[in-house]
Amino acid sequence: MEARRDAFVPDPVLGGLLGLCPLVAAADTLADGAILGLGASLSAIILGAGLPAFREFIPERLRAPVALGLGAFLAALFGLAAEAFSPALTAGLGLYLPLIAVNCVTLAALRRGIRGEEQKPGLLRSSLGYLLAAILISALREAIGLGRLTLPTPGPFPYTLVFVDEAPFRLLAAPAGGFLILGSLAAAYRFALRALGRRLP
Amino acid sequence: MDEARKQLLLQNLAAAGFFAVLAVLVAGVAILAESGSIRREREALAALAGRKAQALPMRFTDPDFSRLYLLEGKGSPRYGTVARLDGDGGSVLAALVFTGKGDLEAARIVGEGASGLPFAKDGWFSEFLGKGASRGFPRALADLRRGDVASGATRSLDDCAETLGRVSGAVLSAAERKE
Repeated sequence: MEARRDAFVPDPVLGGLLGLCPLVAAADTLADGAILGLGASLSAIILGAGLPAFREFIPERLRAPVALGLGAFLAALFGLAAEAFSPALTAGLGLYLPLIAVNCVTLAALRRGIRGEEQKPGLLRSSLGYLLAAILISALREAIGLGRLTLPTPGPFPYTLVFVDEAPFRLLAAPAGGFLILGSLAAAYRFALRALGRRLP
Repeated sequence: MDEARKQLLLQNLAAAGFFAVLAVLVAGVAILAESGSIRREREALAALAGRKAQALPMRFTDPDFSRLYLLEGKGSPRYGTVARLDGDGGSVLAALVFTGKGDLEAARIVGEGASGLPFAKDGWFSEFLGKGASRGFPRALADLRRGDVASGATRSLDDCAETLGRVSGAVLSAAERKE
């Protein structure tokens, strides 16, 4: 039982309520959520896995600035790649793409990397957890709020599944609706954990 | 200079060099990406206006458009841009051609953000501008009598009017500078 608890990594969004800003403010479509979630989780995985390997070569006082610089570098590259993938999709994300550099999930991986802490498999689980939560929240907001799902397909016209012509519950696509969906999912997540006999650390 | 200071200076120089390399890499990728965007915008505007877009676009720091092109051709000069238009149905990227007096002359959807609705893919005025209500833009004169159709057209126009007004202002200032 104790070993099971040690290995448990809660979802950073639904369990830790981390990295919420882009998910409740900008991710009102599935495509937006997938792009933001992928950016944050990729940055976290690359930084978390790469930093410990180079840690010894960087003087201690310079580790934090170098790691932050790398985070900003990765976020900038991801933003440019996303813009090339679909200019129209990324036009709506605005500042949230460069802000991936200071996403809580990225910063947590960065901090552990600077300290040289062992990250596997927690890094992979929390990064993938963030991506899945981003996809789930944005998909629910778009499907229930706007009655459609925009898929992150390349090119100027992303493929969209339209369920109904009129938005059934537009509030959910707004930031307030993002909090409603997030709160409901976080409650369901905690309920499920309790039913499984687990606790949030 | 003692050894410790020399060591510190070397470390700082190495870190500065590292950041400079990162900055150069980002700038290189950004230039590549930007040249691709400019090429796409120039092609879209040339196809729409039937004129050649000038090599160097003018820069603007507007949240919905950043480049303004002088379109060369016969007659008075035209200006073009690709701007983001937001509406209730989602957001689209539209190529817009303006006269030197700031009047909108032609527009066409060149990309859609999250709308995915059929109106974003066809002619802009006939399809996009006018959608927004529960019923579509009037395709027959009789449809104009329906109140919700007219309000849909008004709402879409209202959604775009602010951005179009800012582009128009930018065109006027660019035309003034050119004169």
